[in-house]
Amino acid sequence: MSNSLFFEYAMKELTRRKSRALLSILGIMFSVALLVGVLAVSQSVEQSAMQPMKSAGADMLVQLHGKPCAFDTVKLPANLNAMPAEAFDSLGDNGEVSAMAGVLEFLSFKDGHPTIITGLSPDITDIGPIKPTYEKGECCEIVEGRYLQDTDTYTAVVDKEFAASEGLNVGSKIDIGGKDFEVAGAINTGRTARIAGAQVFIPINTARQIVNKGDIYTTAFIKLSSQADPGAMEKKIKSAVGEDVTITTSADFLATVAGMSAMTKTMAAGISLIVIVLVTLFVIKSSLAAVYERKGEIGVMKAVGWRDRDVVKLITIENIIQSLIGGIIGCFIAYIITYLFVMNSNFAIPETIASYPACAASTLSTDLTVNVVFSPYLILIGILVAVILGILAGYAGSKRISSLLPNEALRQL
Amino acid sequence: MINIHNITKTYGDSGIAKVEALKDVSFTIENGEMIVLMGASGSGKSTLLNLIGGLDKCDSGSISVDEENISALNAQKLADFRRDKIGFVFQQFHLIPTLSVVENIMLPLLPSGMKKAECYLVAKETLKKVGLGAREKHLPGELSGGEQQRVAIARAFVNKPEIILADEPMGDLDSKTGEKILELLQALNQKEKVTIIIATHDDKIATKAKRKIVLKDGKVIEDIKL
Repeated sequence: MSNSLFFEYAMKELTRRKSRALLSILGIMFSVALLVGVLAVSQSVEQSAMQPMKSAGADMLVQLHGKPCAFDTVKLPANLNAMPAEAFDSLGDNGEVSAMAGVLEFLSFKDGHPTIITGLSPDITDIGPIKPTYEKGECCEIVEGRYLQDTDTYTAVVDKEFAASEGLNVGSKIDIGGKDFEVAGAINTGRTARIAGAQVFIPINTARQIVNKGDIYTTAFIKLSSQADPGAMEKKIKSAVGEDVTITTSADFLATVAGMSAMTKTMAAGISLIVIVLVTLFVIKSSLAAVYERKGEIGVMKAVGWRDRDVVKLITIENIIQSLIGGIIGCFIAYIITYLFVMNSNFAIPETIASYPACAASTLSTDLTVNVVFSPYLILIGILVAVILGILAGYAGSKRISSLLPNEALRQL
Repeated sequence: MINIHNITKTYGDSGIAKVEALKDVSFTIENGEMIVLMGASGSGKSTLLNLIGGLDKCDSGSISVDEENISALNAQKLADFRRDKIGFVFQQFHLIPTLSVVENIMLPLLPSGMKKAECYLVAKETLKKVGLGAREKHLPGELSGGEQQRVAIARAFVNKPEIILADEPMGDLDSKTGEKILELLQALNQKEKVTIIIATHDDKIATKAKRKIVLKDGKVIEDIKL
């Protein structure tokens, strides 16, 4: 029997038993919407919360939190203290670290207004607050002039928006800690918040001279190699830098920013699975009832020569059609749920990791951009779950009835 | 040729629920015969038709159709046997209400793997033979009882079976309509050489057949050529 005829016969049956078909579709729709919605919300939140760590190319952040320094022309950010740079020198000796960058963040005051500065190593471009890939669309695009070079001293690269607000161009001079810096380029760091983001980026050696606290970092970015044990590395960092150091991993970051721990994710997935199991039982029961209602018709089909497998195929196709409809609507509802959730979500980098003075003439954003993540992969999961559910229900319903002798089935008529 | 040899069929396991529907029934039917199975309600007519058509299995004995013992066939081969050799006509028509007239007639053709367009053409042609060519798109509910039974006969005949088994085909029809249905079955027997076995308790029908077999309490009590 051609599949198109099976499909036609199945569609006619579904339109005849509208309320039963609708109930099954609603059940499948609800479970798919819940499962895909939970996954999509979780992925959307995870992606936005992880964006700062991802764009920094790091697995770990090392910072030393403490009391604010006394007021001066230049000062470290309110909650960050200095860490000796030499403490980080030996961390990667055993190959556990694949990349490391230390930066020095500080505030430079002029006329009572702070400018946010980050000193960084010009030669490290694969990890840290900015990665000048010079490619449009990626962080961070040089929009004017050039990026910092190894030989630079009193040279600065400025944030594009800061440059616009201060009227700075390539070749302009900017006062940092009482010293004139020449603007070499402007960089677009995007609107989303970054760890150790700044309005002005200068070479770290020059930054250390201005801050005058020796060879220090305020934040260290560490990318672990694949064989590294994060727990062992944390111990190693504490032993080298100090027990009171704050280490933030990618997982910590997610938990801090989005309040989403591995446990909450597992719980959400677990609840979805329980709902799916319950809906599966309901759909199987509904399919069984629908099949028993038409026991006589199935008897007629068998009497005219339909094999058991033809009957199983027809009923399974009916269930798959119901499931596909439920699955597609479920995915659509899941998208709406995710969209509404994301639109009403507001995530920001925690103040302990990055904070900027409110009194700055123009400041940097700590808000994270939250986008709806709804990949084809999620739709595939939703549809697949729905179809498997349909096949199970159809098979369970039809298998029992198809094994009856036609005469037994016909007695129902 | 249909060879029925010592078949028995009992419903229920024990006690008052146990009913011996057929007891040691034996007879032979030649190809192209038109036979009426007569007897009161509960005499075993329908049970015998079901066993000949492979809708049910006998407890003992055997039924052979063209020397193939259908009592020994598995479910799949029995389905193929029904598809290729048997056509059923039921008292209450048993048309599927959601399918149009032509789709109902296509039902026996579908398991054969025939293409949809071909199924449709064959079904349409068969529908014309029963005089309902203009009603192909109607639903069964939109037809009269006589028309529905014509559709059921078209469905029984569409796959060109060797045997048509009709269980009280005129039972739910008025006498005039019933007569037309009987004429249709007679025409199939005479023109297409189809073996027709009609189960009925109506004596008038027996006059149209060539042979009458009378059952009583599950036993053949009379088998005469007319």
